[in-house]
Amino acid sequence: MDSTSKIRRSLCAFGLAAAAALPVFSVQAQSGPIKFGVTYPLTGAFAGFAKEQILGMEMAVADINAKGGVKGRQIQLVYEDTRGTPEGGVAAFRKVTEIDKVPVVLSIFTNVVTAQLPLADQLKIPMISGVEAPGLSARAQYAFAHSNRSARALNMLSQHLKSLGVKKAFTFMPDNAFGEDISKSAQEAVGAAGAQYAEARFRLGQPEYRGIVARAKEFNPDVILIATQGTADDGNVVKQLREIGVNAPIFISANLFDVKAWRDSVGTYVEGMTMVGPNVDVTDPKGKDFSTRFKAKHGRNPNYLQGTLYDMVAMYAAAIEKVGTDGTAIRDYLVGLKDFPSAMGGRFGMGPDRQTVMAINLWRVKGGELMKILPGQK
Amino acid sequence: MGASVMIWFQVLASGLSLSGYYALLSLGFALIFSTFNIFHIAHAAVFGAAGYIFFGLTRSLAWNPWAAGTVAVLGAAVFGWFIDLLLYRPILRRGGGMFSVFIASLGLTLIFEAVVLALTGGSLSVAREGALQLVEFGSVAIRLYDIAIVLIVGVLYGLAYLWVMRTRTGMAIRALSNNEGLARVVGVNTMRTRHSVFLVASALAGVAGVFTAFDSGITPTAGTQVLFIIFVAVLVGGSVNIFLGALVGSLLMGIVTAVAGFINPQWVSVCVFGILILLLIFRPRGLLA
Repeated sequence: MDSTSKIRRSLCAFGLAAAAALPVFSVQAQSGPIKFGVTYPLTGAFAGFAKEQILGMEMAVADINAKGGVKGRQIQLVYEDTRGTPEGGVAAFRKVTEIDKVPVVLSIFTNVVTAQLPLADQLKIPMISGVEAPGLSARAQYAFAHSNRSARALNMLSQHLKSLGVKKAFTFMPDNAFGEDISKSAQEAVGAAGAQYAEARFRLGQPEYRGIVARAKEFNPDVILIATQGTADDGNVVKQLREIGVNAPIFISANLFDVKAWRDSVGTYVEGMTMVGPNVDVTDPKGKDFSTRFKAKHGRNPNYLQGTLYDMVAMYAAAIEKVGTDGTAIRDYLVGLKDFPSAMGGRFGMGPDRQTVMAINLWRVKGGELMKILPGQK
Repeated sequence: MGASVMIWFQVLASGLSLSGYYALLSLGFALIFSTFNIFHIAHAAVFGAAGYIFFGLTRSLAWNPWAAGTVAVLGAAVFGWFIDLLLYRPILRRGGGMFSVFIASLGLTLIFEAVVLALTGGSLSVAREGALQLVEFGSVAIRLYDIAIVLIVGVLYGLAYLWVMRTRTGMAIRALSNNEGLARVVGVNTMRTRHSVFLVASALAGVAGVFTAFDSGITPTAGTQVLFIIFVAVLVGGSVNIFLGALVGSLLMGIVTAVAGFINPQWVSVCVFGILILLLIFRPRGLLA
């Protein structure tokens, strides 16, 4: 036998062995867990906030796995740290999709998600995020958002400000892509209320804000509006405002009452604040069940963000159960999502810009409790 | 017009409060720099360590703030002393120069930041939940906490001044600062002086770390951020009279950062380092030299 024949025979043998092994590998892959990529800030300014919200995802995974998983397979979350930065977001997205081979990704924060959008389309991997920025999910075909839309929240605040007869509003926002996006909406909302607008942006992780809060004092506003990402830095803005003698009512662009990291930072100054956003509806059986079980496990009430993250995992699980793990099929399923039950109670559907629509309300912190208020209610 | 004038008083009050933090760090940094020529970047890590010890004890273990503060300051003093004992001195003993010490100090600070980031996640850690009391002068509001800081800084400066000017250790510090070789020849105990300087300077940084963690909170890089301002404060003041120099430099930096923060926060770094560059060109030995 010449050497060419030997090589040919060896290759044939290897090919047969590989072909025989393929179904085995395939069966193993099919029987292993289905991995969901979670690209979240596990370090940096957003870490405390993000780690708290992840509890909602983990609860959803535990519930689904306890009921037998999806298509008979368990779900597993694969975490990758974005550090809350665009470059960290891109690296994390690549890691979970190319190394861990996840079929779907969950993400958060405008600056991170904006950088990840092209990758989602390029790799055909659906990505649901909690971003609130208007129109962000519409920029990529595989991007979805399940969140409190900032434009709707600000619109509701605008009506409230108008009813209250507010003449001057000073807005604080983080000095990042979120702040950049929300600045225009905030100006429009305050303008629509017929009030004079001024703003200042604070840099996350640099806790000395007395310079910018002095600007708010100089402006002498009727209300302070904080466009928030839920970081502990908000707490410093609030404390330094109050401790420089600014006593105007504070309005928060999201309902952060039950966000522990945020509450710890704001401390006793939370009293009297007005917030706008969704909340877990304990009058609804599903919302009550979620709230009761969460409280039993973690010793405190869940916040709406934990509810939305629970929903995101449930959406992916429902999609994979129905259409499998193909990215395009999951995307098509999510685009047509209607009347989906929320862990927070009630139901929601996917909007035309691939952003869900959920009920929002105005809330006031009174006597340490969160009370629902109507627009214009003092 | 009246309101605008008052707002400048408000900004000035913020600047004075910031000066208190800077003054504590500056004095410790200047003591080490002027006595041993060590550019002690790890002073930032000492500051941060005190802040995190205080935060952990008060928030996680619900300690009384005074007890937690005392432990944190003592912890900072020991940490700073260990940095000299286990890092700087071995390098110098084996023939490494001041540049090697500088690099080691920088490396230790980066390690500290990375470890704290891994342990805490890096979010802002604020020890207090409650409100602080204010006193108001017209429309200018000043926190009693800030007034207390200024008083404490005054007392600590006074004690440090007496220590340097009226004790044998202080005499040794001045001798080493003026001429280390000659000081050794006349029998100054350099090791004991070294221990004392690092312990006291680090304790001062510890006090600043505790105040910061209690009030505005601390992050893994908080020490490095403030230390850049401290460098400039010390260089502005010069090393001829470290007490007056650190005080004047800190006061200037406190006011500059508060005013720049009011006008436009993006300009804080430009102002601080602009002053540094101008100073290095026109008064390289400091304003008071």
